[in-house]
Amino acid sequence: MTTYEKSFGATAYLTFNDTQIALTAADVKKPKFIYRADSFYTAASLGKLDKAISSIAGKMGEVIGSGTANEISTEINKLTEIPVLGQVLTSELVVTDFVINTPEKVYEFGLGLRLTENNKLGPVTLDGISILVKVTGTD
Amino acid sequence: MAPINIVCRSIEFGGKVITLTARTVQRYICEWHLVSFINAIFLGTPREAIKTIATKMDQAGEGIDADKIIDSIDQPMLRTVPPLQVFTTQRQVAITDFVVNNVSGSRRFGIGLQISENNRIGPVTIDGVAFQVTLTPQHKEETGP
Repeated sequence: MTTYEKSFGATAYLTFNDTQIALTAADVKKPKFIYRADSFYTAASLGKLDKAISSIAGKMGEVIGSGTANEISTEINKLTEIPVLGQVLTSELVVTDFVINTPEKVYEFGLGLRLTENNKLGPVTLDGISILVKVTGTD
Repeated sequence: MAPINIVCRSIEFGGKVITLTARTVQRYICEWHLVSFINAIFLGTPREAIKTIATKMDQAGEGIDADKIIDSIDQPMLRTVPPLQVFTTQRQVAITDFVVNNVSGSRRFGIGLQISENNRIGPVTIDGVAFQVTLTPQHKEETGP
C-alpha cells in the first residue's frame, strides 16, 4: 500500500470589487503568499491609478502611504525609454500581482492593463504591461 | 484570451458538483479552486469537512486523520499565519481546492472561509483564509526476497 507524506500550505484571499484573488503559500511554516494573475480578462479591476492605490491601501494599511500614487507617477514619468508605461497613469488597471512575505517583511503589488494601441517597446509589440511596487519593512 | 481549461472529472459534495480541469489535453494536473466564497460548498466544521473530502480521494484519502491534521495547526504555525486560528474552532468551512497530480501521484485539498476578525497577516488585512493539505506518495525501495 502506498503511504503518503503530508505537508501544509495556506491561501489568503483578498476581495477587490467583488472579485476574489487567492494568494497561495506552499509551505505554511515559511509562508510567502503569492498571487500572479492568469489573465487580464479574469483579473480584479480597480479603476484608474488613484482609485487602484486606494483599494490596495485598504488591504495593506500603513505599508502604502497616501503619496504612493504620486510616487508611481513620478517614477514612470522618469522612464522616458519605456513610453508604454505611461498608459498605467491614464488607464483602467487590474491587479496583476500581490505578495505577502512576512518572514522577510516584503510586500508587493502589481497593477497593469492589456494593451491594444501605442504598445511598442522598441521593435516588440506588447499585449499587456504592469508595474510592480515592492515595499520592504524594517524592524 | 482567457485560459483554456479541459475537463477532467466532476466530484459531488452534498448534492453540489465541482469540476476538475486541466491546462493541457494530457491532463497531467487536474484541479479545481474556489473562485468565490459566495458560491462555496460548505461541508461543516473543519474536521467534518476533511473527513468528507477524504472519502473522495481514493487511496490517498484512507490515511487522512482529520484530528491529526487540525492538531498540526500549532502555535509556531499560528505565529506566522494568525488567521489559521479559525480552523481550530467549530466554524463552518468550505472546500477551496482539490488537485490531482497524475504525474507525481500527489493530491491536495483545501478548506477555508471568509473572515472579518483576526484577519491580518503582517500588515495586510485579508478577507478569507484556507488551509491546504498536500499528500505526496512515498515510494519504498524494494529490499529483495
